[in-house]
Amino acid sequence: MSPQSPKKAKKRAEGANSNVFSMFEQAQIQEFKEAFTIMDQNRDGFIDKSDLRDTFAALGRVNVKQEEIDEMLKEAPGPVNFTVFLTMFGEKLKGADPEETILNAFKVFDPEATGILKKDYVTDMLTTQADRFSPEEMEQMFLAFPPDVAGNLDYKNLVYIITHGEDKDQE
Amino acid sequence: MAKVVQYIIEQHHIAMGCGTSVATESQAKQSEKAIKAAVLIQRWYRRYMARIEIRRRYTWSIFQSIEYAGEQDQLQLSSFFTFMLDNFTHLGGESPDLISQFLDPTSDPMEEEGRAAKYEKIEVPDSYPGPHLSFPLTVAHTNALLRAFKQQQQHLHARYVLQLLHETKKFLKKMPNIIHLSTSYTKEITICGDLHGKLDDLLLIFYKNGLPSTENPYVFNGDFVDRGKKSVEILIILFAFLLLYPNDMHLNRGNHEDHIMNLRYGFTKEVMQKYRSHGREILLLLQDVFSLLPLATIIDNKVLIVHGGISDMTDLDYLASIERHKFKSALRPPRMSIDSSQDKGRRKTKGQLPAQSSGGHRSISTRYSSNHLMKPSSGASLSPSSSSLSSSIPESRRMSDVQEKDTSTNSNGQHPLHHRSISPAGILEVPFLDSDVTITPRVPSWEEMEWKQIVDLLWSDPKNQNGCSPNSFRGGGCYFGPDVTLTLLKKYHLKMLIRSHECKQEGYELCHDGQVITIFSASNYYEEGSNRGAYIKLGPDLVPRFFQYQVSKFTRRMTLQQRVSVAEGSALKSLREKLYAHRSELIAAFKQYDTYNTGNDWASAVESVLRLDLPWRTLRSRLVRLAPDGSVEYLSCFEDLHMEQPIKEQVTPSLVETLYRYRTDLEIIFNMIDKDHSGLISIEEFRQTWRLFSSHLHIHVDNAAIDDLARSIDFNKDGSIDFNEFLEAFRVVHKLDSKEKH
Repeated sequence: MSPQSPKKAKKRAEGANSNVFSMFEQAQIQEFKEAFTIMDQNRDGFIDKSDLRDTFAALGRVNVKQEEIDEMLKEAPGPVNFTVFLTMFGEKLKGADPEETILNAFKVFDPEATGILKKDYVTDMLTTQADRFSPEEMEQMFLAFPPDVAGNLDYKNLVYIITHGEDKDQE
Repeated sequence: MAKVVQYIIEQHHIAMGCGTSVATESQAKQSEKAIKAAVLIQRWYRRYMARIEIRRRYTWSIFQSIEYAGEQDQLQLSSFFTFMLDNFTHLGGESPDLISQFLDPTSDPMEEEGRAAKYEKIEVPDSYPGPHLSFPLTVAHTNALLRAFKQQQQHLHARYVLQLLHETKKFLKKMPNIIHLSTSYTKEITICGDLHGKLDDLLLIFYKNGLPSTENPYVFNGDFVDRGKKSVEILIILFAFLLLYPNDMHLNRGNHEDHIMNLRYGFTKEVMQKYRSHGREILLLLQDVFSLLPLATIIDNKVLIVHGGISDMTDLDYLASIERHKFKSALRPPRMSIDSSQDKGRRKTKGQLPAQSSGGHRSISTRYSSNHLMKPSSGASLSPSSSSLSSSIPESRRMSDVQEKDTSTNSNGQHPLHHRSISPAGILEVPFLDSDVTITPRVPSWEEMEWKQIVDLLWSDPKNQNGCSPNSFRGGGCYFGPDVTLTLLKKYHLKMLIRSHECKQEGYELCHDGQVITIFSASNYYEEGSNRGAYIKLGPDLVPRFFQYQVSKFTRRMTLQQRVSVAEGSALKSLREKLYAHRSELIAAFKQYDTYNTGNDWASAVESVLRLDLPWRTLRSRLVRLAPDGSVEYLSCFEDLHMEQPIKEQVTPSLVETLYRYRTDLEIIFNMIDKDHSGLISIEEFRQTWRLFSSHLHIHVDNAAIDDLARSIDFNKDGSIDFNEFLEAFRVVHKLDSKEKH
């Protein structure tokens, strides 16, 4: 092996995205570190299958198959330690969508702007296309935001509660 | 942070592929629009759910770290008691004698028989509405007890409590340290975890699973008392069933079956409140009973059940041989026999007080060094490889290694299990005492070995990484890894370890590849809705079945969001109180981090002062305000709280804060000093005790300020302080609270 300067060697060792830390400010990195730690339930410095599985389970996806988890982890260049974590997610982070945007998304399915949608229609819309909701997720949503006896979901209310509840938690 | 979690979900779903229909172009356009909208909605909702999950997790962390910090505090207090006992024979009053009587009662074995007769003589008035007990107990008695307690109105009369405890003690004396059970071909054994005074949970378990009987055996794995309000009732029920079904009811000792823990966590208070005349006697008898509780249970020689866990030094054969009753508290190393107590009064104190810290004991870095090994003494062979062993070496020995090249104990009496908290650099000098003392002989090493075995069993927690390290989070016992578990299970041909000691969201949790089960039976432990309780049923196949439940005060079902919000609110309140209690230190730290601009500095400052391992940056927005220009308004984290009654101006703010921070400790000490429960202690006792306490903790407090404070509290100038009033002065109120808690 030809001798390299220490800096080069370091870069090589870290892989293609060795400058991922420079993408962020120190403050942001600290925040991500916390997020990483919260997700790293067994505190071993890596986000592994069990961390992922637990995260899924906590979000209502109880029966995630092993293969699915493996699939996701395959995307990562190695075991998901903090550097890899930053690399994978660093570029993807965006700000929260404003209330208006979400409302308009719902309105796509409610062209007459009645403000409500039928429960069955919502179920169909969210579980059969795009990033499909699982049945458990759907059930969870209706538990938290129950439709009325006629099966109508007041989506304006739903959006309002979530975004305004969220506002309190925004950093 | 939620974005990140949610992103993972998104990626997963994208990998699954989305379903688009093949259609005409306009339809395709329509579909595309619909898909985009759906994606937006799904993503946004998932972010919301992930957000709740994150809040739930950090709420849990907050509760747990505050709880364990409290355990550390208790160790601290315990070492203070030891310190007092070691150093002072008299203290302008009866205090140390009282304390020694409380902590180290010397029981006269010849008095035992006399006790039974004494209890017989206690009169039960005709007006007493509660159950009457006679021995031997029958099912009628246990039914009567259950009925009485369910209705909440009736306490068992002190006479019956004493008699019950007396009988229990007699019974337990015959039990070995480790109890062996078997599942005969019909029986399933039910194993329950911590109850912590929550009677409703116990009653719920009995309701779901049936009462204990010869067909329905139970094992209760420790921590029956403290925190909850019905510890007395739980003990009575458990002991009654123990006497009624001696072969089918089994109790393991937990770390809260310990009179020193009980001082802080509420059981002592509960007993004293419910039994004004006989409380102290009951507590003394309970010390014996607790120390006689078996340490472990083994089912079918395959399943080991202990309260806390194990360490790499755990030796079941050795454990079986220990005289467990000698260890009244797992928090204090064993005292020697009567001879040493005579030496107690004669110590030599040398050395200087270390340089003062800026505030509380937490900012002193520990001088604890895990490299120190105990000097081998005759009869004890110690393997130096385990760091956990060195952690149990009495502070005294290690310190004297450092200071004087002499292995005798120093008079500091620092608790050996101290890890995170204080470790003074030198031996304490107490200038205002003029007694001339000599150094005590050291505690023999084999007693320490025994003691460590017990502490490990009662205080350890499992961890995911291999190895065995001192449990710094709690201050006692070890963290044991999967390799430690494997080794132990193999050594004794066991199949699994069932333990409790840690609150789990679902009431139970498996780890170490399914070989370790944590079972916790107090639902809503931290807060309404915080967690479920659970119990295990184990049949001859030794495959555990789990049963969960949750006691719910409110009939209305709360949504996940509401439950998380309630728990989170409660956790944040506790955290704000912690911030408030360290106000001066925090303000000093804020000033140190010169740039006020980023929230980052705030987090670092708080982290450095409080030393709680929490996601401060995530929590920041809930604890402190951001100014419009983005900078952090540091002082806003104290705004929520204020003292209910303003303290007089003579008392300096930092003193007030210090007293606030140690109010629990002070309350404990005062309660011990106040022998006749008058609520009053003499000024002299207050002054001396406070001085001792603060010097022990190396809190720099102006003695003159203490005197002023004492005088100012003595409102009627009769030389005594109503300490309840005193403590009341330090009660803080949360301004943001719209309704009163409890």
